[in-house]
Amino acid sequence: MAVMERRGARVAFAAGQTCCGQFAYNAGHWPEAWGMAKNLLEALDTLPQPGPEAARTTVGLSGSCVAMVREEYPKLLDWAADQPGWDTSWPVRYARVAGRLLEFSQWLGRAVPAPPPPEAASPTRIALHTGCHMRRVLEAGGEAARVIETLGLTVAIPEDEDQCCGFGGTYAMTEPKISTALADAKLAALQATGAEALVSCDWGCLLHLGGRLSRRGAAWPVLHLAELVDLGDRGDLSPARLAQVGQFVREDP
Amino acid sequence: MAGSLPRDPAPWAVRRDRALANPRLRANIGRVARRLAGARQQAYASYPAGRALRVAGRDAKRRAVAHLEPLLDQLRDQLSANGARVIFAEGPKEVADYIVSLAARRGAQRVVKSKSMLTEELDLNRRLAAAGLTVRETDLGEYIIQLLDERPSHILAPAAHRNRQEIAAIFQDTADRAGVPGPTSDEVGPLAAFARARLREEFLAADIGITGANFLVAETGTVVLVTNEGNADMVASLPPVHVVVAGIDKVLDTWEDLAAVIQQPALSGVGQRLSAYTTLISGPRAPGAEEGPEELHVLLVDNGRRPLLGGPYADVLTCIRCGACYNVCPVYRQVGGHAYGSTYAGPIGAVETPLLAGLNFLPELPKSLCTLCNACVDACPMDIALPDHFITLRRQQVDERGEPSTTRLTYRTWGRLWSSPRQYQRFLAWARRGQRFMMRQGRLVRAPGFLGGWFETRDMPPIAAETFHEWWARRASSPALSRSDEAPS
Ligand code: SF4
Repeated sequence: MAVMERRGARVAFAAGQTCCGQFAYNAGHWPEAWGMAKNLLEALDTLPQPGPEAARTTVGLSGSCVAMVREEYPKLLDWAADQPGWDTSWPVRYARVAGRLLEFSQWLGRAVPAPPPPEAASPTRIALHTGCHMRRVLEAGGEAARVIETLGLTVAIPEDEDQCCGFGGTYAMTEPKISTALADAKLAALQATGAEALVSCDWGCLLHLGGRLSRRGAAWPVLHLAELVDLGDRGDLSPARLAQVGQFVREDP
Repeated sequence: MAGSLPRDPAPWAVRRDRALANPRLRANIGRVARRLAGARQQAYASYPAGRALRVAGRDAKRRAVAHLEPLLDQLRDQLSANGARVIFAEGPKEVADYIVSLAARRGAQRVVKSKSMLTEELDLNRRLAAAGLTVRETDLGEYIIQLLDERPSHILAPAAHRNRQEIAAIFQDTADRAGVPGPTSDEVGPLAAFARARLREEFLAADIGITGANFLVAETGTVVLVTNEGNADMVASLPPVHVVVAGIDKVLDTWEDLAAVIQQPALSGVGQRLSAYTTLISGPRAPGAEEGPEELHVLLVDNGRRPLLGGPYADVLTCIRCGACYNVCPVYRQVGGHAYGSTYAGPIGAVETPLLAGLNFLPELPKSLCTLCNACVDACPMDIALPDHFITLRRQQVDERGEPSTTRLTYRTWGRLWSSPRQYQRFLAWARRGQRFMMRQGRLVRAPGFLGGWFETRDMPPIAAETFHEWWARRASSPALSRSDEAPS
């Protein structure tokens, strides 16, 4: 929020939202996914948005969730149209919601730049993990790297960067061994860059990779892009600060 | 009718763990897959015309699958007019029976084969051997795995799971048993030379040659084979009888369609503009001609394909078996082809196997071998909607087979709790109470049911003392708190 407000946005939050339902959709449990999708559409559609309609944008904090709404919801709607309790207003509401939806780094890339940080940023290396849906479904993989570079940081792209980290929603729970093998391969490639911290635009990947690091007892800072930009805005990008904010269990403010 | 495919009797957990516990296999598979995926990327990058060609090829394949029956009739008529015998075969038994009785009529004993995934699918070698025929694979990779008595682990590189040292060892072993000198070293050259010498004898002695087909052109009645080793040429021309065993999905309408798609197996498979050998066969040896087999038999095999026509999964039948989806698949790179438990592996294998053989056949394939990363659909030259198929197959499995009732219940409950703001608050309240019993050093380390899978290898942070939702609600009700800098992360 702070990051968005510094860029001149007036921010509202649709408090009724919970989850886009992707985990259930991907696992084949579509009635449950549709229940969550309806709730999200309802919440985002009835959101009292500040400013004129044309200037309204809904920003999502995970590439995968945004991809779900933008690219998979149409398939879910098609299916739901044949189910009992269908309401023909859903496609209209969907079009309204999806039409103004952007992923956070996409929004940042278009937003007015924030005021320059008070002091020069240190040239710290940041390992960037681009989630698969961000990269292939939204085709918005490049934005985050540009954002990080404008903070004065160096972006390190790991080897095999287009390989999945193994999260995959409930796949991480139903196939923990393969999922973990993929996490370990991804972490090895990310850490081999020699970066100070790991940054991504997907909370799912971060939870999975961070959770793995935590279990292995490794303390490598793991941050969402928004957290990194917030530190950058404050000119507070020291390794110590990255380590503090990037702890696996976040301290309460 | 559902098709019939071979199946590893070991259950999924055993196959998976066997693969994960074999670091050499994983290294070999990973190396081959990365090399091929990289070659494909470079080939496209240096060949701008390749992209338009790919689309034209895809459209040609889609058109053919949309009009399959009339094209098959036309193909049969053309091939028959060229002097070939054309047989429509239902599945493995019909194919094997036909070849066995053909061999009996010809007094044939020795069979040579070039690489064919369909004959793997039909388990043909085992069936012919059971009938007393001697079968020799002549593709280098197939030759290796035949010596090892294994199944292919990659659609293009059947022995991808074996490295040079392992191959040299099996060749030496073969040489010792035959009383001939083994390969002179474990370099690629000597290994290939050894196989070539051994196989030459087999070619010359063979009574029947069996090949697959990469494409079948209805307009002209042509069987098209692409290889990089040239062995299919010999299999198709040296023995007096040539049998083509091809899926009905291989048919194309016109010669022009063939031209559109002919580069794709090499381009998407190994990153070459064209395979080293393209073999075109239109009939047996013409009267008075000096080359070619005396008899040509073309078996057009269904084995579970027709039921897919006209349905949501019909695009699966446009697969040209290039292996591009295998090479980019993260799960395939971890476990390799044998873990999939049947003939086809990688994304297309996990989707197509249950489609051909029935949803109850290896039901773990759609569920357990895909993270939905979408790499496959990006790589597939035919734009087969693999991720969509994974999801709809999972949905069909949930709908039709039913899942364990506890899993069902978990999704139901989870779905209900997250489908309205009020329920979500209840969820938070319960979860906060419950999580106290699942923590260690401030992290969540346990969870009930299948959710527990996460915690076998990973932690999770507990639910925040104040969630963003709660902070927002508090902020809205108290103007003093409206400074956003205090937002919890
Ligand atoms: S599904 Fe596509 S990428 Fe995979 S083998 Fe078939 S044609 Fe190639």
